[in-house]
Amino acid sequence: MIIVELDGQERSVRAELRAVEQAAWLPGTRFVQRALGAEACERVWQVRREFSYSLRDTGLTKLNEDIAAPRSRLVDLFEFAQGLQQRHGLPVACFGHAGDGNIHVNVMVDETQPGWRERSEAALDDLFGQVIAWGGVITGEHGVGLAKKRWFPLAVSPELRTLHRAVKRALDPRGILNPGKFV
Amino acid sequence: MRTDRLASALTDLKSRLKPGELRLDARTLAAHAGDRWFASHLPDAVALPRSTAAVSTVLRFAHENRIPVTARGAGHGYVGGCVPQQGGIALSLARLNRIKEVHEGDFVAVVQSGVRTQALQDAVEARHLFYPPDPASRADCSIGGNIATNAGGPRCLKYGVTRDYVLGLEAVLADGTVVRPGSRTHKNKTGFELARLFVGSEGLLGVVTEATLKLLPLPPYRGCLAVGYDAAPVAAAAINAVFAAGILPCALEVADGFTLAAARKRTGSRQLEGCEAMIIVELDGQERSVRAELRAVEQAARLPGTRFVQRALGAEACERVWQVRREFSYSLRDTGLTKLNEDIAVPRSRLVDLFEFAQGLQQRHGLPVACFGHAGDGNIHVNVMVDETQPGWRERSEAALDDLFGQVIAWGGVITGEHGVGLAKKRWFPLAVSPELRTLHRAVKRALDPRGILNPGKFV
Ligand SMILES: Cc1cc2nc3c(=O)[nH]c(=O)nc-3n(C[C@H](O)[C@H](O)[C@H](O)COP(=O)(O)OP(=O)(O)OC[C@H]3O[C@@H](n4cnc5c(N)ncnc54)[C@H](O)[C@@H]3O)c2cc1C
Repeated sequence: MIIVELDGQERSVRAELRAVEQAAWLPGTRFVQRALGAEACERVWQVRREFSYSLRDTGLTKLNEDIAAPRSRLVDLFEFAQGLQQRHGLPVACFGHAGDGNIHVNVMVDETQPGWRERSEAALDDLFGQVIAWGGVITGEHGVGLAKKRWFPLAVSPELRTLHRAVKRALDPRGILNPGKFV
Repeated sequence: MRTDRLASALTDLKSRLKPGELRLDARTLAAHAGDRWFASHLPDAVALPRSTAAVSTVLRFAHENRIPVTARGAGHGYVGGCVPQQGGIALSLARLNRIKEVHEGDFVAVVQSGVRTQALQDAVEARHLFYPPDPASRADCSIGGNIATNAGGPRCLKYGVTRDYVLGLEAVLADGTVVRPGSRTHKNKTGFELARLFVGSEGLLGVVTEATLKLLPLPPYRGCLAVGYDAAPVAAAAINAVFAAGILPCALEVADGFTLAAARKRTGSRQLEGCEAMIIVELDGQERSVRAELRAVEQAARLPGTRFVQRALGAEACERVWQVRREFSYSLRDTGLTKLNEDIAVPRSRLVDLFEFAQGLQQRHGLPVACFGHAGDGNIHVNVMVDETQPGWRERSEAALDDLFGQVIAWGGVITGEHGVGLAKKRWFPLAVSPELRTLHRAVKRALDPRGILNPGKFV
């Protein structure tokens, strides 16, 4: 499913939404839902917001990875996510910002199962390795923090990590600012 | 470095490069001494590398031997930024001029830094893609220069400046290390924003050799409106009315009475007669939307005091409107005076204050002042017109600029919106930037260029 939102002057939005519909109505279309005006749009977005809750309803823990892939890799990514599922026995749900390739890949983990941690880490190793091989990045908007610290050296070359450290040292020579993170 | 030691070092460097990549002849040196501003200084050598590896060789060598290196794109800067102020090597990126990739699926272009801005735009537009930043110099300037100065243009009101299109870079650091900050994805939060650290760095932090730039779908249609007014405050009110209608034009330009009088003289245009201000509004997008919204703009902009309205639909007609805008520079040159083009930016609401202040400048310093530029984002070109045949012209123009920059900063504005500091605005950098912030500039500079070989003699 895709959601497309336009904004601007009313007449323009109405006309351009028709053009979007024309472009998007391809063989294989199952449904089209139109929304005009802020309120109707909010109802469409409500469905989008439910995605996260729906995944939580499964009772599983959601590891939300906000990777970004080059825009043309969308279908490859969806297929790769299905493969992940088969290889690691963990359900994977993808949704997110298709327009800029920033797709949230949610690896669903059952924490009551033994070995869940190793399996999920292995799945993430696989995922991040492939995303980087495509020229993508391990985080599009959430940041590195602690969650992605382990993969920072995979994502960023030694030369670029040295540059990170040089800038860090210039601004925080005693290393007191948020120590223990990716620099 | 002593001249004989420098000479032998340069001979040594030459032997490490391919033939023709390091030139020492007087003609080549003279051709790489200045840009489109007044200053110039001869380099001791000109490097014309054909590869990133050669750029790296030059920098590694210069770092080891403490030789100044000043990067140069196309030499079409307006502030003396690429002037090799302390000699050494002028490092021209002109031969790194290949468009390596235009990817329709990923909406990115990968280009070497010496590619001309216009060449990139032509290549992507042929494939219905769009690279919006449009400095007026785009036929001549380079992408690397645009990145190093964070160049803008009329369309940047809606689309943002060069910075907003830089997804990734290949850059060579002062010691020759090649880094590739950023990526080809449209979003990236992996670590610091190091690609953008080089944006606007005026060749002081590293040398950009390649850029991965974001592209947009090409808007299929354009429409333009030019409106003349009998007073500047009416133009300002019209600008506010356009925004109040919820419309963000792709460009919104303004010109003052002095500029229009010069343009009328040059072009013989009757419609400019009696105009004390003029605005140009451009919209782009789907044809029907542009047509309808242009009518809304006209409604908003047609205020009491309007002298003429000129409509243009479609790219060709729009170009004719912009032709008038382009004549402004030439018209001012026709006056026979030297134009000191100051690209200050003021908070948007200060437009009328700025026009009035400029008139005051004129009275106080006896120098004509012409204002025109990007009204939508407050980046107005204030042109102080100087007669270099008059004694004392330099002192008078410097005094006028002191006045201007002092007032602009007092308003919370900045001394340069898009051209950069270079040499032209170096004197006012301490006025514009606090001691703490200058210390931070120095700390960042030292971290990236510990030996101070990159573009020395500039603002850091
Ligand atoms: C007629 C005219 C109109 C103009 N209109 C506009 C305008 O509308 N908007 C605008 O923003 N500017 C404008 N400019 C200014 C100028 O064109 C821009 O600053 C442009 O970006 C300069 O590009 P260049 O390749 O000529 O750079 P250069 O003049 O060669 O260099 C500019 C600075 O960038 C550095 N540099 C260049 N290449 C690199 C690189 N690869 N790596 C690291 N540093 C580098 C240089 O050291 C220097 O400090 C105009 C200039 C002219 C002459």
